[in-house]
Amino acid sequence: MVIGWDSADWKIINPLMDAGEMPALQSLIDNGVCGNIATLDPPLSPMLWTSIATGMRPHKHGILGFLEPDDSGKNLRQTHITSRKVKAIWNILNQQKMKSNVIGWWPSHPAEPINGTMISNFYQTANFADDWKNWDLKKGCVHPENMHETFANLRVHPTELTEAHILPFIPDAAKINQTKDKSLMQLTKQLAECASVHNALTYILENDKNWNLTCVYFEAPDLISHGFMKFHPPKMEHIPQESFDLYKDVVNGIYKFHDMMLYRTLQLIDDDTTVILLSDHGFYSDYLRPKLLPKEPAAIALEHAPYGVFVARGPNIKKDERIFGASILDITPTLLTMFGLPVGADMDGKPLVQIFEEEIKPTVIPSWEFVDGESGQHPKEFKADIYEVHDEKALQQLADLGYIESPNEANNDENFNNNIKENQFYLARSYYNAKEFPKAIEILEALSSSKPVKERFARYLLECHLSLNNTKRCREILDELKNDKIEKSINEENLQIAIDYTNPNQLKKTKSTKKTTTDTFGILMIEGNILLNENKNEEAIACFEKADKLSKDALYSRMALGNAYMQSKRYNDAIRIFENEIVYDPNNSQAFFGLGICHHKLNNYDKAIDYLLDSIGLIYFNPSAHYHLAESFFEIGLYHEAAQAYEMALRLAPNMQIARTKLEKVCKEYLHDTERYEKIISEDIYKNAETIYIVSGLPRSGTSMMMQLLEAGGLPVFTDSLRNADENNLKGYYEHEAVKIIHKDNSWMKNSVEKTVKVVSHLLPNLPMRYKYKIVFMERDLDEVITSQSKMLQNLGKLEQNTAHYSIEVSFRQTNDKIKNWLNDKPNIEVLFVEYKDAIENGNEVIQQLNTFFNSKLNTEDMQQVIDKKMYRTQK
Amino acid sequence: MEEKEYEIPIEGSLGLLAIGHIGLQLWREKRAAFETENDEGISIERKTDSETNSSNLYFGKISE
Repeated sequence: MVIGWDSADWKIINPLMDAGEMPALQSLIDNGVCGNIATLDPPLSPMLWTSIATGMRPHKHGILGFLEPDDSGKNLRQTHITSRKVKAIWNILNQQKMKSNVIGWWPSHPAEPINGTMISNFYQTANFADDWKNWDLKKGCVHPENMHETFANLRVHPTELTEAHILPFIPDAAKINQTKDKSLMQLTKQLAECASVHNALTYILENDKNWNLTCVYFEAPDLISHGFMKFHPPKMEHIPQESFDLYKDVVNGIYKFHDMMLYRTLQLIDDDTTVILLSDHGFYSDYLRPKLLPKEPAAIALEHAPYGVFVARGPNIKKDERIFGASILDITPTLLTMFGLPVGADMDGKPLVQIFEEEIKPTVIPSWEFVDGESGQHPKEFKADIYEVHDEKALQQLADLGYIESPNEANNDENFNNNIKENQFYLARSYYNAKEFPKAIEILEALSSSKPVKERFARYLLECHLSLNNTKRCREILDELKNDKIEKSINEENLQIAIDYTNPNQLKKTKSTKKTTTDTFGILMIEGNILLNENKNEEAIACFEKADKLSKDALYSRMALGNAYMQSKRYNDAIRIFENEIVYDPNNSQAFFGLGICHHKLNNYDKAIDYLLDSIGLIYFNPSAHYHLAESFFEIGLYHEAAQAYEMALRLAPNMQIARTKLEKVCKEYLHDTERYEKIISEDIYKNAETIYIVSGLPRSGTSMMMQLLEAGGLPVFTDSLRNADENNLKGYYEHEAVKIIHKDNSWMKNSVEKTVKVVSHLLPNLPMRYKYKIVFMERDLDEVITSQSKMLQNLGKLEQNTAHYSIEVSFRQTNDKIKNWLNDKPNIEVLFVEYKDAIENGNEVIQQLNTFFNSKLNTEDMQQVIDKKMYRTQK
Repeated sequence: MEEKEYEIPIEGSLGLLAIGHIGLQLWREKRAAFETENDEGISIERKTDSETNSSNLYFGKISE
């Protein structure tokens, strides 16, 4: 069973457990494992809970925000389950004939036709205006449909609740002026909605004992925290005493109520049921609570802390232990491993094997996406429109929370476009978070093409370019910022206080005195990062020191300063900064990482190991931390540990050649265990996958010639021969019509196994990951390519004589760069780059290269007959 | 384990909510029975928030 408590945070839970006020959770922890769980960026619920259910990042699973265009593409609706592009854990189990129940998961509307019960996330939504006795349940909220009425009657309406439900949260509620202060309404609504979800859960658990997986999601801890955390002790300076006294117990109250519901849930399952309870992120509850937020969509996510809670209890789960390094991406891989099923190699998470008492060795398959069988997903042709929920009040709630723009603030078109842009921004952040910078840049550059550029777009664009050392572009963006061509998020007009139900009319404007300071601070930080990138360390340090003086409480500037000291080898200065940071925020993995690196450089290997383990315990996905940990272990002679850490660095970053080399050295020279190294290196999940040969490149880069060459060498070609030879391709095109629609339908690929297929370069990213590929990538001077393409278009009458499309050269160059980048890290793809000119002028040499690439299976003599120097007609 | 009889309070409780659907059903039955037995003269007082047009039960008193 997986229980989701949105936003749950140890800093609230621990004091309550210490006081004996969360006994159910305490019993789970006493009999199981617990620890932090790292979130993703952006920390927004629809994306995060889908990552939890799929093991994939948002750019893979396709859920990109709170809103999406409806089926007409003209209006916005709340995000539906039909936008999820991959299988959730319950779909995978469905294919294994297992039964799942899913309740309230975000997003899960319309409910999928799974083997089991699914209650969508619109099930519990309640409005005060409705009469609870005539309270319609929207179509599509319940599967199976014949249970619609049963579950409709299990919902609790907020108007049913009484003082008996409210006073435990707000003992002095009678003092509240409800005309002005909407806090009571919000609390009552959240209480009713989480009770509705709990009722659906308890009904299922009492009436069905034969399920394999039950997933339930509770949103109230998040929404209550956004509304009431500002009143949580200790009192924040700007909060009036009267409000503090009224609302200081609400956050604790909602946690305690969830513990009561958990107690009941545990009564309804047996001890053999494995329970995982988690949150998608934490919530700042102490001095890290932001007082002011930029007035931009989803700014309240800045109240989210980077680590949530993870608890697991079950028959093969360790007891009373703390675990480290969990990420929300790990939940689905862990569940698959528990069920004895393989993990998809396309999943971004890893099984949390450290929680198991008896070792379970995970197995891997390339992807679950190509596994056939009834998954319980909606069919491809399914249209969600008849189940669509256009709930103005629900939209207004999201707007009130600051997650989306208010439907009233802009006209529909503007609102629509802004929301589409915002989803694109979230997509770019997902790529950024996965360190796929070129993809993030492509989106952010497009977003930045309309003026004025939003500062948040520019900020991420800068970070991406910095990561790729594109200093020139960074300086251009910085100049735009200095010249005020960027719409700043942080200025006097654009700051708002965190959401405040107690005084909604005063919400919008809270003056900041930091206008000039903040802008200067931002520019100094960017300037410093660019200088650091240019190895102008001392100038960078001067910038960060100035920035730090301007804003004493800015964590960002102090971490940058620490990194700059580290880069300029002032390790003791860096250690001073990082040590202060971990006192300020004990969850700062980057500060622990910095301390680890500095101590390693100063030859303090024991300290380095401690700090690097702390850093990895907080954020596991940091190949560099594992690598430096290995280096420190190596220095003190712990070679087994060093090999393990090198291996982990290599698993997380398969292209980290230095880790591979060091691992080989340790295994062979120090552990005298060559077999171990060979085993690690030969672990190939694609070893049983079928192979397809691809000839690729830009059109007119010699791809047809290469197809002829490989055919002559004895490789069968996959072509429909629909396009006949002509004066542009004297010996034929070797194409297949099906390739052109590979992005929509790749089912034909099973017929191309062990054959050669021509695929133009821009279609390569659509290749399904279930196969292995050997790609011969043709390269040719771009001037020649464009001239040749222009001649061909002229011959076809599609371009005027003596003109050429040179303007597209830049676009071709960018496409080629992107494709090469994409090819770079794919474990199932081998590439041989061949220059067209070489193939013509040094044919024998290229044929030998090809033969080596294709494991000496080519008939090289026949291939030599194909090369015809007369074919090189367009050259500089 | 000794079973104790539990009187369902007419105004409900967090404990009843935490029991889940059975708690809700028992509470609704109690309210329905209460209203049937007392359909003349006794009601749960409801205040209406005129600005939001929403019912405000939180401080409703059971009155005769």
